[in-house]
Amino acid sequence: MASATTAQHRDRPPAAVSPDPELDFITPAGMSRAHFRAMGTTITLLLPEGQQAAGLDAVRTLFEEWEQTLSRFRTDSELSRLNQQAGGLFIVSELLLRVLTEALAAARATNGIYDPSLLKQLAQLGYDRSFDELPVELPAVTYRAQPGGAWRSIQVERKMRCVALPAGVQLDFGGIAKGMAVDAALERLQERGIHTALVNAGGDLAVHGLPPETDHWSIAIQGKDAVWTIPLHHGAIATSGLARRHWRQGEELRHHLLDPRTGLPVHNGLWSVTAVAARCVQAEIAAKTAFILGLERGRAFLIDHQLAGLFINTDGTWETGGGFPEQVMRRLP
Amino acid sequence: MVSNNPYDESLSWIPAQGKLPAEPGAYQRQITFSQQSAYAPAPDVSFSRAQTANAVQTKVEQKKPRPAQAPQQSPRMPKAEAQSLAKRLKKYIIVTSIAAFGLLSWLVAGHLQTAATSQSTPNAANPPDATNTSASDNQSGDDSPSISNPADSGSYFDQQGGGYGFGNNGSTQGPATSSGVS
Repeated sequence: MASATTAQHRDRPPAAVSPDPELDFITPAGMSRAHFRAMGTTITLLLPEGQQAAGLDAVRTLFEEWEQTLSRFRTDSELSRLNQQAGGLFIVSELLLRVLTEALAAARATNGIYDPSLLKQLAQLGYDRSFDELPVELPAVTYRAQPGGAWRSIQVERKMRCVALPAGVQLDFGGIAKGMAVDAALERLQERGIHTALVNAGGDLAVHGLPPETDHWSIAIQGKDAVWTIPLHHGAIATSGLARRHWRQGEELRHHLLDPRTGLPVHNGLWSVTAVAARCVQAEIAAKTAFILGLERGRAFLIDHQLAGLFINTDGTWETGGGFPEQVMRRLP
Repeated sequence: MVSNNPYDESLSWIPAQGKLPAEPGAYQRQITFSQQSAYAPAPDVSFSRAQTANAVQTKVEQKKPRPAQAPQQSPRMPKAEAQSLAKRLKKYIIVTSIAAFGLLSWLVAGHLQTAATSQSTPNAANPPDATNTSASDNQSGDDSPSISNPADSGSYFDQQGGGYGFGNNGSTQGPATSSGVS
């Protein structure tokens, strides 16, 4: 029955998957769970009992600050103002400078496969508003695909915090900002004396310390037709794929993972890529890059950088790359 | 003029103008005193120039070779021994030269490798645009992105702080959270 359902869905746009599908999450003993909404997703925290209030307050404040500065969907955000002033000089805040610097470093590190300057292309493809507000079906438009690479011409003067964004270039920090915010949240918790925590921003997650009486955090990874758990001891996990952010533009299936070489959404037979790294921002960039590169080159990319990954194909099959712990993956019934 | 101030004792330190010291050695002692540092303790004994000159003269005389000890002709080294010594010296020079050349080559190679690495790997913490650069630095100039040289990204994906790790056994309990597609 399940396979028949899968077969029916192969030629259709993938069904939207809730970030927390019908899974019964277990809160580890001695820990407490908290949620809030930010950056267009659900932020989940696992914190030691007794430290939940302080931890939640610290992390919520951090995410609100980051969203206010970096959201492209808020017209009053600093990023929106920077994008509006493309073609001139702009003095940016420390936070925006930090994220821009990281994004440019990630772009260089992936030879431009990760590209923070594809906002114009995304908007032309229809993703010009928060995904929650995006209709599933959009009218057809003539889209002239433009390759990326505009990030190469961005000028940054760090001492003065001055950014020169060339005319026509627009920045989108959606994924990288979430990954960086998760890392920053863990750091802020440690500064507040909270040394055991899990922070999950819509699937981009990182852990620090271990819950009492256990040697790992049990993390579910969603496949197309199955869910597995892996025991994460330390580090971060992020997943990029088609399951959630996709829509139709006329007859065309669109999604948010654009190949900067073509300016078009990637269709390479992959459903999702999960990457494991030391920092959440690394996992986020690695998952996105591996997805865009496709199975073979993506796996080679992860291996080259000593990262681990799980590749799930659109037909539901899966393969691992790097040091992904296949032997301790447990499929949930 | 004679001062009538009975409290002014400084006058007794001033010698009469235009008069030579009466004592013959006084001039020499005065010179010796003036050559002392202002911060040095007063010398217990001062030597006259004549005494110093005598001492120097004695030393020089002691160093002069006596006519009796005129340079002696050392016996000539036998030819075989000289050749053997020359051979040993040649060997030593060759070995030292090779070792020095090897060391220099190693240092140059190490320097070139370090320079090449630091030029090609952007550092996440201190990216090359630390002052004022274009984001296109370190790029080949090719606008079409490719992944032909993933080694360039070494420092960005460095697994700091212990990297990542997994538990030894599969989890027997339900998941604490999930890494859903973002």
